[in-house]
Parts: sequence; C-alpha cells; structure tokens
Amino acid sequence: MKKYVLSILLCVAMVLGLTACQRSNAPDSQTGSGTDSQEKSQGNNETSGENESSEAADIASAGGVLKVGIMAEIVVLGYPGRLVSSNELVIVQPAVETLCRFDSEGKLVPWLCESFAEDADNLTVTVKLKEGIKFHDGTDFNAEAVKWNWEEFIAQGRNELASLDFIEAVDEYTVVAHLKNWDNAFSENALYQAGFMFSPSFCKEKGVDEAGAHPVGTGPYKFSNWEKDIKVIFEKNEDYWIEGQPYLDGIEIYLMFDNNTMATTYLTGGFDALPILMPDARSLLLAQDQEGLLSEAVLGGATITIMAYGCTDSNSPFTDINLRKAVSHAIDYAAIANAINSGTGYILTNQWAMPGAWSYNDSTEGYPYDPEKSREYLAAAGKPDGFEFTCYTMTINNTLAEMIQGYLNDVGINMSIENIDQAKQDEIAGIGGNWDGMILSAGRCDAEIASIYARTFTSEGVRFVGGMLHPEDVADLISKARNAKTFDEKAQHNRELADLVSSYNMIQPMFINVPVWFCKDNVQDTGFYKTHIILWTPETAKFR
Amino acid sequence: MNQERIKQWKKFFRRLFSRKLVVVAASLVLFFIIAAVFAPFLTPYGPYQQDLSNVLTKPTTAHWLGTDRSGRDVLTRILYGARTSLAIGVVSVAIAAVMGTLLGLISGYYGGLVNMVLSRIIDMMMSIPSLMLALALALVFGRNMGSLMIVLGISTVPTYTRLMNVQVLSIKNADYIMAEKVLGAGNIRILFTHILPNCLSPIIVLLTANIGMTILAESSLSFLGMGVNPPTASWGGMVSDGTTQLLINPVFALAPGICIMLLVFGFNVLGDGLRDALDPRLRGSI
Amino acid sequence: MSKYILKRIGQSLAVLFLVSVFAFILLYMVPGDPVYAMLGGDITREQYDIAYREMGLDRSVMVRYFGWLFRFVTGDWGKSFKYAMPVVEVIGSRLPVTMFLGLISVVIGTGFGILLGTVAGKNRGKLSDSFITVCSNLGAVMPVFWLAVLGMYIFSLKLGWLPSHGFSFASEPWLMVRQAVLPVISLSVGQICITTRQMRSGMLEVIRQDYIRTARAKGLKESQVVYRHAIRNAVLPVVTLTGMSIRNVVAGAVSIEQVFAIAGMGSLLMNGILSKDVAVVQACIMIIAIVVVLSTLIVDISYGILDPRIRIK
Repeated sequence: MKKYVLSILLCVAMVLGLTACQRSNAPDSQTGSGTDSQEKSQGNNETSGENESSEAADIASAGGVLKVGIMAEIVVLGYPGRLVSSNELVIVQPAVETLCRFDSEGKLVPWLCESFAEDADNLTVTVKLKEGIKFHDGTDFNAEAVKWNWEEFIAQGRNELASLDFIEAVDEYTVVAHLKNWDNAFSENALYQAGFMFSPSFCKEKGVDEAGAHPVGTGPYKFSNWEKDIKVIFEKNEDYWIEGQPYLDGIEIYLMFDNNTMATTYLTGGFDALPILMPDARSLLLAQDQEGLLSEAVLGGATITIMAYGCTDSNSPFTDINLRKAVSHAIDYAAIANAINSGTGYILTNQWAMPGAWSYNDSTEGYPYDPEKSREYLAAAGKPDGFEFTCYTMTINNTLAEMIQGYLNDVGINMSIENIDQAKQDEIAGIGGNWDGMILSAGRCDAEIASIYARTFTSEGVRFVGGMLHPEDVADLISKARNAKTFDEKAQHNRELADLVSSYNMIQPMFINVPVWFCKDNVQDTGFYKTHIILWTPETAKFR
Repeated sequence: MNQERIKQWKKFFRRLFSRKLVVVAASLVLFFIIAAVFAPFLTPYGPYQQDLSNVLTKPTTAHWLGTDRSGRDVLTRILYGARTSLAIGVVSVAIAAVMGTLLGLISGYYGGLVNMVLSRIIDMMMSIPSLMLALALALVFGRNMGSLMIVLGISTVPTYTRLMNVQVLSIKNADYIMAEKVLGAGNIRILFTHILPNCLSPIIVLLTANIGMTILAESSLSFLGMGVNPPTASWGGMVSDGTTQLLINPVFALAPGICIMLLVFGFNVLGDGLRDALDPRLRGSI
Repeated sequence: MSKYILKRIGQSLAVLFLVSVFAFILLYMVPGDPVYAMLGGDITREQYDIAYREMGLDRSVMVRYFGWLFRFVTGDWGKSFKYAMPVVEVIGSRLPVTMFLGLISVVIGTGFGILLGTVAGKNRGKLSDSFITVCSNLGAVMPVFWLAVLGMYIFSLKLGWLPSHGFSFASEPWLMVRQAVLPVISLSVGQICITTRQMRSGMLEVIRQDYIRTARAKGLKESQVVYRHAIRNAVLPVVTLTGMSIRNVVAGAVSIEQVFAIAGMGSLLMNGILSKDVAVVQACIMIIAIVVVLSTLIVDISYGILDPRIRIK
C-alpha cells in the first residue's frame, strides 16, 4: 500500500514539475487568433518572471491579440438605440464606429463623416460622409445607412434626437437633418450618441434580437463571437477603410465579475489592459506596485455615482421632498468617496454637473453633509424618529451601500439593501419602469447637461424616467438651453438648469469617477481615456 | 431510578470525552457560543460602527484584527458573525430536523402509499443540488435572515426523512412494539413514546454534522452575494469581502475563514464523538 | 434482478415528473407577473398579449403544465430573455463544460479518497492515520471558494504555474488541461475528504470482522487480505456517497465557476435565478435533475449488482 502512495505522489510531483518547466520554455505554438496566446503577447511581467519572448515581441510590431479585461455585465451589443450602458458602448467599438469623435477640448471632430455643418437659422445639420467605406457584410456605408440608423434609434424609444423633424438623403454621401426647433445639442447626439453606425441590411435581415448580439459596423475589427458572460471576440478586418490599419490580429474583451481574478490575471499577463475596473481591483493592483493611469479626458462621458430617489411610486417614501433631503443631508460624501476610491480617482460635486465645466453652477448649495439639517427635514416630514426604505443596487456597489447605510443609521433612517442585476436595473430604471425606494447607480456626466437631463427628467426620457417627476419648469429650461443660438446663452441656461434640478433633489449626486486604469507598457495607442471617457481608438492599438 | 439515570449520563459523558479530540471540539463550540452570546460585552465597538478615516487597517492595539472596508472593527464583526452563523446553523437544522423527523416517522411507520409518495418527493428534493434549491427558494422567499433559515432548513429536510425512515422501518416490527399494539396502545402513542426515542441517536449525530454543513452553505451563499443582507455581519460575507485584500491585508480574509473552519470542525468532531458514544449497545438507555 | 431494475426506473420517472412539476410552478411562485418573468419588463402591450396567449395563461393550470412539459420533452425549452437566444443553445454550450470538470473531479475525489481512507484505516493510530484524519477533517470544513481563491493566488499569482481563469473547450489542449487543474482540484478536495472519512470508518469496521481474522488465519498475505476482503466490503457506502456527490458536481460548484470565470451550469443557473430568467432556470433544474437521477439510477443498479442483499429487500 505504501508503495502505491509513494508512486502516486511521485506522479503528482512529476506533473507539477513538468508544468513548471513548460512555462519557462519557448511559448506555445500559435494556432491562430482567438486562442489564448498568453506567452506571445506579453513583454514585461513583474511577478511571475516569464523570461520568454521579449525578443519575439520586439520583432513583431504588428500582430498579436489584445486582451482587454472589463468589469461589466452587458446585455446587448448591437442594433441602433439598444445600447444603453457605457460599458456596452466601449465594448462595441472595435466593430462599430461613430460619425464623429472628440478632440482634447471636447469638440466634435469628423470620423466616419467628412465634415458637418450646423445652420441654426434654417434648422438643419448637414453631414457629408466619407466615401468608399463598407460595412463588414459588404454593403455600403452611405446616406441611406445613416438615415436608417437615426430612424431606428428613434424607433427604439430614444429621445436624444427628439428635435428631429425629418431626414433627407440629398445624395449618396450627404445627409441633411431637418429639425423642428433649434437644438444645439443635436449635433453631438446625432453624430456621437446616435452616431454608432450599424449595417442596416444586416439588422433588417436578422432582426432586433439576433442583430443585438452581433454588431456589424465599419470598424477595424469584425465581430467574431460573444461567449455570454465570458468574452467578446473580434478579428482583424482586412478590408478596413484606413490603409495599413488595424495592426492587431484581434481583440478579446473579457467580461469579468471577480475583482481578484481580474487583478491576478492582469498581474500574470493574461490581460494587456484594464480600462474599466472597480475600486477593489484598483487598490489591489496599486498595492502590487502597478502604475495606475489617470484619465486625460475629464470632460466627456464621465460617470457619476448617484442616488436616484423613486419620487412617483405610491409605496415610495420619497414622494415627499423632505425625506429626500433628509437622506441627502445625512451622508458624508467626502469621507465615503475617499474611503471607497482609496484616495484617488474621484471628484466631489454637489450637483449633477462637472466642476470646472461651463455648465457647473458655482452658487448652487446642494445638500452637503449635515446631520442636523437631516433631522430637521425628518421632523418636517412628520417622521422625527426616522423611517425605512429599500436601496436597489447591483452587488458591485454593496460596500458603498453599506457605508451609506452606516450614516443613515446615525439619524435613525433604516435603509435595507436589495441586490439587483443589470437587466433588472435596466427594467426598473427604463421606459415604463418604476421603483419604490432608491436606486444606487451611476449616471452620465458630460459638460452638456441639458441632454442628459432630458433623458431623465422629461416624459420622453429613457433613464430613471419612471421614478422622476417631470416638472414643467425643468422641461422649459431644457428646451431653452438646447435652443440657444449662442454659446454664452447655452452655458447660462445650462447652469440655471443645474441649479433648478438640484432644488428638486430627485437625483442626489455623490461623486464623479475619474477613471484610473491599467495598461501594460508594451501596449500602445489604444486611445483609452485620451479625449473621451467612452471613446477609444481600436484601429491604432498595437504592441510595441 | 434517578440514580440509574445519573449513572448512565455519567457513563455517556465519560465515553464521549474519552477522546481528547472530542474535548477540544466541544470546547471550540462552547467558545464560539459564549463569544456569540456575550459579544456586546466582549468588545467596545458596535458591529455597524463605521469609521471611514480608518479603513482596511492592519491589526493595531485599538483594533486587534484591523478594520474592514468601512472602518468597522474586524474582531467585533467576527464575534457578531458568530451569532449569524450559529443562529442560522442551529435554527435551520432545527427546522430540518423537526420537519424531517416527523415526515420520516410517518412515512416509515404507515408505509404503503404514504411512504411511496413521500420517498419520491424526498428523491426529488435530493436531485436538485442543495445550494440550487436554496437559491431557487430564496427567489420566492426573499433574502432576510428568517427566510434564509427556512430555505436552508427545507433544503436539508431530505437527509432527516431518509434517516428516520430507515430507522423506523427497522424497529417497527420489533417485539416490544408488537407487544404495545397487542396491549391496545394507539399509533400516535407508539410513535412518540416508543419508536421516536429509540431512533433519536443517529438523528442527534446528524444534527451536529448538519450544523457544520449549513454554516458552510450559508457562507457560500454569502460569498455569492446571496446570503444575509448587509450590514449584518456574516463570516461568509466577510471572507467574500476579504478575498480581494488577501495579498494586502490577509488578516481580514483569513480570520473569518479560520473561524468557519474551526466551528464546523468542532461540530463535525462532536458529531463523530456522539456517534461513538451512542453506540448501538447504548441505544434505548438514554 | 430485472424486477429491481424496472422498479428503480419507475421510481426515477416518478421523481422526474415531480421535478418537472416543481420547475413548472416555480414560474408562478416567483413574485410578479409571469409574463414579465419570462420576457422581461421591456415589452409592449401587444407583445404582452401575444405572450399571454402563447404561454396559455388564459387556460387552466393542467393544460398549461402539459403544454410546457410537451414542449420541454420535444426540445423546445423556450427562449432566454437575458441572452436573447434559445435556452437549448445556452445550455448546450455550458453543460459539457460542467460535466467534463465535474466527472474528472468525482473520479479524482473518489479515487484519492478510497486510497487515503484505506491507508488511514489500515494504519489506525499511527502517524499516517492521524495525519490523514486531521487533513481530511480540515479539508471537509474548508469553504470551497476560499480554497479556490487561495489556490489561484499561490499557483497562479505567486508561482505562475497555472492560468488564473477561463477554462473552455476552445483553448488548445495543453492550455485547457492547465486551465482545468485549479477548478478540478478545488472541486475534488471536498469529495476527497468526505470519501476518506467514510472509507476510513468503513475499513475500521470491516477490519474487526471475523472473516478478516479468518483470512489472516488462513495465512493470506496482508495485502491480499486488504484487497480481496477489506476494501471490497468497505467500499460500498462510498459508492452511494459518490452517487450523492454527483448532484453537487453537476451544479458546477457555483463559487468555483465564479472565481475562475468558467461558463458552466452552476453560474448559468445562479445568474438565471438572479435575473429571474425563468425559462433558463426551469430548463437548468430539469437538466440537472435528469443527470442526477440518471447517475443515481446507475449507481443504485451497480450497488445492486455488487451487494445482493439490496435486491432482496
């Protein structure tokens, strides 16, 4: 018997020894893109001491598969108007491009279009498209395609293009959008937000559901496969409209759920870049002496952590503004932001606007941490001993929710946490949804806040819309802001809007997330966080 | 009569604690019970008392095991976590034992159709993995501590029913039972005064082992985010929180994990010891 | 013998029937409108009405149940609204992964368990016994996810021997093997420990029996005594244990799938439950139950072959 035990132990030791040897030998033979090519794509690796293929990496400046890790759950990846969360917008970009991108000052620059021109007096926006671009299914990118994309965007219930009257395809490569009234946010909405161009013929043929899982655009990489909950695989588009690009053989975007696994995989060389991650993973990597890169773009596409009160549901205590204010005043935002983000990567704000941007209102007071005031509002609402409510949030926010819980406890407010997933949140926060407590989530925070507010505080809105009041004065001010013909007028109305919305306290902002992300030294030009929080440049990404 | 009983108890305990390991296990369990019950007196901090300027610190004289992500004292949360684990473990096992034993008694004694139907239902519950069953039931019952107890209890019922069933089957045709029947004793009386006491020992052994299992199950549920609602302190939840900090501040993750292991180990070994002590030779004398 | 087999098959079918009833009524036990539970909240009034009629909600429960059962048996498992694809495809991609990893860990778990348990039982009281007993007791109480995370840290991060996540059949063979190591080991440890303890106590019981004394008195070599008599008899309860553990393996040890980012049945079922994707949950429960019942059936029948006493009962 002992002999058997010994022999088995010997076998195990042999296997382990073999495994160790295998790692330090030459890299595994490549069998094409899309397979796990850990060894090939890594240059330096701090912790596991891989000593192979730094030579190989030097020789190959083209090729390789970029592995991106993203902490996200995505629901839909295709079809105009269906992509709601910024994670989905980030992931779809290797395959789908936008009409315009942004420069470092946050202004629109043409990408798929050649140029665009606004005419406030004639209420038109004329877009000239680049010629000779094809979708991945071989069909032409032309004015008809743009027209179809915009129309479908509206048909899916989005209201960003609400001021659109009709679209005219003047010739094959010129589109003119005729507006009902002047909307100075229209260009950005149409050329960026609704500017993700999907192939009409593919979408029409496959239908919403299937096209929603299979994005076909004009991008440098073709969509290959979406292993649900695991990864999205893109392969090089040989017929990309820019000569010489893209440089990589493919991009794989991994959808991670676990902070540990994400950080460990990055540290062992399994990922090349982590553009979207949670504070936990971030602090783990920082503690391992990894360099965290700060976003260079702060103006466009930032996310802001918010508490969305359910103001319309009859079962919700937050139909009473006093209770909303009571909760808002009870929380120490600075302490929480600091603790949650390990001291970096956040900006405090007292309104749903970006401090330092032209739309930020310096005179707005907001609802700073003040337990005394909180108790006053509780008394005013007739609940001096506190009350209880439910906080709906995704599990990744649990630590944040617990911190909030702690502060609310101090004033006698009892908050219980109910975890929901992305799909459920999309449901209750979407069109026709409602909730009877508070949703702890994230919203968008661009410089141009009128459009963002329109998505939430008007009856045509799409996000959190069911639980929000739709006051007339807010809607009026939004129109004014969007109709403004000069920049100063626009800026002023936006500032007034920030203040007005703050007075209703339907959405309480907590802090703005400045992304801290990680990228290996040998990865270049991915474009993450260069000009915009969501847009990157997959076509220029390459290994050094 | 009383003297007899006392002597038998003494004998039982002597047998039980004849192995040192069992003594250790029993002391472990006792230790955690005391810690749970007297938690408020053993620590100056509250379990929900957060201090955001002091998050994730390593052990210091002020905080013997450091602080967690919200600045709460880890040692305090472990003590209160003992309450959660023990409460859920004991109550859900109690629910399972009572329900399961009753069902097993009935199906074993009356046999026939009742037995067949109940056995199939039990089989059905056993074909669905217990964690899944607990999750599916959580979908219906919700996720607070009470529902978790019910859910974990229900998913453990099958083990008791089966065990009881087998026990009853082997006894019900014994001579003394027949004698009682001849004397005209009713079924209920027979069930509860004769059959049940004689089948109890394996159930008791199973009880202690199950408590350990249930505590592990609850910690798995908490790890997956499906356990007790925050901010209730739960060892499994603490391990889940702490796994990201493993390389930075291992105490945070290791401490609750070790506690889980020690408590479950204690219950398991205690169960083993009980089984040794409640040898068939002693059955019927307790 | 055949009567026994037939009886067991009949029982298995009855169990599956009960499981189907449970899976079916789960839809109605979930709080909220069953149509929304099936399709999600993001539907129009027309879609709601169509689904209402398709799901037969305007007809009686019995009709609905048999309709659902018929559809299930003929392979129409409905559509997952979370993944926007037929449930059959979703499960089809995940079941093989779970079965593969699970079966390997059951084999390893049982094999090592029998081995270690025999050693411990034979050498009762000696160092090897104490060591094995303590280890198996500790291993049985260690939370599985903890083991998984520790394993990942040590073998993936610190030593760099193994990849940290992502088992899938699409990886090349050697990588696939290495991706499987950590998950399989994490899955097996519990099984090893339980089996070791069972085998050990079985061996202890058997070794005291008269026929062992007789075998020794006959002059048989010790190893023969152990092999031919002790192990064969001590192993029977282990077989039942293994049968029982298969059901936990099929659920894919959800926490392991989460830690190692493996797309298996466990995480599918859990995510389905979390997002209330009822079609997926129903199908998963049915499939898992079928696999479990089938394997229990096989185990019971082989038990019956190994131990004639069972058949006679």
